[in-house]
Amino acid sequence: MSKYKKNIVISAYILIFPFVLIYCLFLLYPTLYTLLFSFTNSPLIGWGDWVGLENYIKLWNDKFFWKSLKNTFVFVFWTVIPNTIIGLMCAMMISRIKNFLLSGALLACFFLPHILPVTVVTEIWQWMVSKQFGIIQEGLDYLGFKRIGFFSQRAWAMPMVALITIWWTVGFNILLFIAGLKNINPELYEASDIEGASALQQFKFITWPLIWPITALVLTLQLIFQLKIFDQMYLLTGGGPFNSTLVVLQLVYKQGFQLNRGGYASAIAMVLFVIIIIASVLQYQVLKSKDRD
Amino acid sequence: MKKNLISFFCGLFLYMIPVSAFAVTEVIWWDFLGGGDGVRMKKLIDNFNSSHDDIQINATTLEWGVPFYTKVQTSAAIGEQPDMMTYHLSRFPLAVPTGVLRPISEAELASVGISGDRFFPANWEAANFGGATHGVPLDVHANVMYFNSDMLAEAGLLDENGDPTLLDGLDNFMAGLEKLDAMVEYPIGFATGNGGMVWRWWYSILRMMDGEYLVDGKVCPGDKCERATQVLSNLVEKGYMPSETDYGSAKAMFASGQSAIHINGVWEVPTWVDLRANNELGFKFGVRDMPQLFETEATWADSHAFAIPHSDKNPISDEKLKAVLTVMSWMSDNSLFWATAGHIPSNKNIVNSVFYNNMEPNADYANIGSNMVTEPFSPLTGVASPTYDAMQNYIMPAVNGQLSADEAVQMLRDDLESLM
Repeated sequence: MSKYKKNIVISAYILIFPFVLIYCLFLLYPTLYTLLFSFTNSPLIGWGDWVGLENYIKLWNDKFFWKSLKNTFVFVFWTVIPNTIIGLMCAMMISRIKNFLLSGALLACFFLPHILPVTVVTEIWQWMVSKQFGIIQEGLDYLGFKRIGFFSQRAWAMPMVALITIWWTVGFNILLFIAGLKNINPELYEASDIEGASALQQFKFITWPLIWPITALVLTLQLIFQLKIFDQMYLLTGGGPFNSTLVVLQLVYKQGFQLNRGGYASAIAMVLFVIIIIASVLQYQVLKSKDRD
Repeated sequence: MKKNLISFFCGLFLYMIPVSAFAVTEVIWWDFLGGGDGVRMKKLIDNFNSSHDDIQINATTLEWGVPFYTKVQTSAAIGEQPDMMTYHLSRFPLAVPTGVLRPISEAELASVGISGDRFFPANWEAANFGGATHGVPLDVHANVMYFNSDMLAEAGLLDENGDPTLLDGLDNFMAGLEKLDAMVEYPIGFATGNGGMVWRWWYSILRMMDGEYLVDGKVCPGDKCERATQVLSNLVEKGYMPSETDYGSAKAMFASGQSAIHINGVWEVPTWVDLRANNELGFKFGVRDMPQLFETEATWADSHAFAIPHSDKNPISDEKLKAVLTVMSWMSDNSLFWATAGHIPSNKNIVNSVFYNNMEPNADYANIGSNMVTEPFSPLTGVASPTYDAMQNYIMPAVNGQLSADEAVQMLRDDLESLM
């Protein structure tokens, strides 16, 4: 190896060292630790006895685990595709606006919620839908509807949390889509205009296929984010009413922090970890294969 | 140069003398007292600090409930725990087995003049859960009934002494509410959307019927839990209580005259006293113990205590321990002021004093002491326990008419019994 090449290799290692260190320390190490924990009956803090697969067997028979898993996927259903569609629609709307100030202002409006911490977001919505004093309830009164306990009625709790999540996170998707739309060569639209293509045809044959890689990315990111749902449920519904919004991470929190069962909580966390890996790899592969067709 | 050095060391020497003579011990204190009682606790802490040169309390108020208790546990695990903290006695059964509370020996307590006989027996028994003293009780806090005296008088529900009448016994209570219903939007402003609030009233009603919550590994034996749920859901159904109402809204309804009665804990006493004192409450209010709806008098109650978190990594030093015990003893001796936060001091000497007995409005609900019921000693109950969650999850929807009482109580049983 020439001296020059050797130098490059050394500097490459030096450059990736901080990342590798942080990755191992804060990601790999805790993950392995959680895996080991899941085979023990540990409390929240400190080690327990090795119990083999007992936690996983218990989990298989735990109806609350299955319920929380189902609820997590219901939440994914309510958020992932709507969030992507709304993101794409808003991005197309904003990118069509020629007035730079107006499009900038609109983008800022959509993006603003994204910079708020989740606690602020949930507090704002709790005020707005408060059954006694919420502004949305006043609106319902005005329209002649009955007031709705948005977070305490079974039919409303999950869709409402999903709506708030979309309101909160859609700004980021819009940004990704705008970047994607900017990459589409405007000549394609001009040429199709000359050929007399309608707006719908333009979307179907130009925008949609060319934006597809971004759409696949957004869908996959959304899937991963939404499978990890915890904060909004914890802050808005607490898993109720009657467990209709109990999600997997909330069960982890309940078992680990409230009932001091670190081992069992770790087992649930590991299962979710595996589910997220499988679901996201699978989804990305499926979406990519569509890309090749 | 030499002269300078000499004067420097002389100065240093002089500087060090007072330091060693008046070494200040800092006591790191965590509590979860965020409301009107938090303001009063800060005043007590200030009073302590200004009257002690050798000990200074450095206090932090944290989020009540699970966040507080989780933080205590994790901080103790890595040796970064506070020197002392507030703790609910109802949570001792959950905490003692985890080893997060440092036992305090009789000799240590005696060194600052604390002995068990100064506290109410039920309090002291709870503080000694697990066969050792794990905390020093500060107070008892219970559910009470606040009422708008003007409205109750107008409805003919006050006697000549200003005491509510005709509200005891379920039938009388319902008849009274019917009268109030004609005058006001909701006779009772109650946080029907708050699991903790529902639990406190629900458990009181259950015990008024002589019902049990936890017996020999069974949750809600018999059908009294169902009946207690029905009592509350009936109030919502008849429109006597607003449905799905959060804690703040329930208070706001009472304060703004949209409801005549407010059921809440004694810790809200300062809210109404302060509003009234600032002329911001447009009516005269009263406080009494809860309406007795069934045969037995019963009011849910819990206690705040002081405890020392235990850490294997960083056990409390003798010096700090002495300071902490001094603080605990001082707080107990000075808990008359704590009573202005609505709480009933655990220290019998204070409660039996003339000052306490003349205190308003505390004297109006002094008989709570004789009819309070504490939560069962179990890891399933206590502040931020699975019971609090289950109330939010099952009983609260039933109270608001989304589930039948039978369904809700069965779900509660299934859930909690699976955790045993």
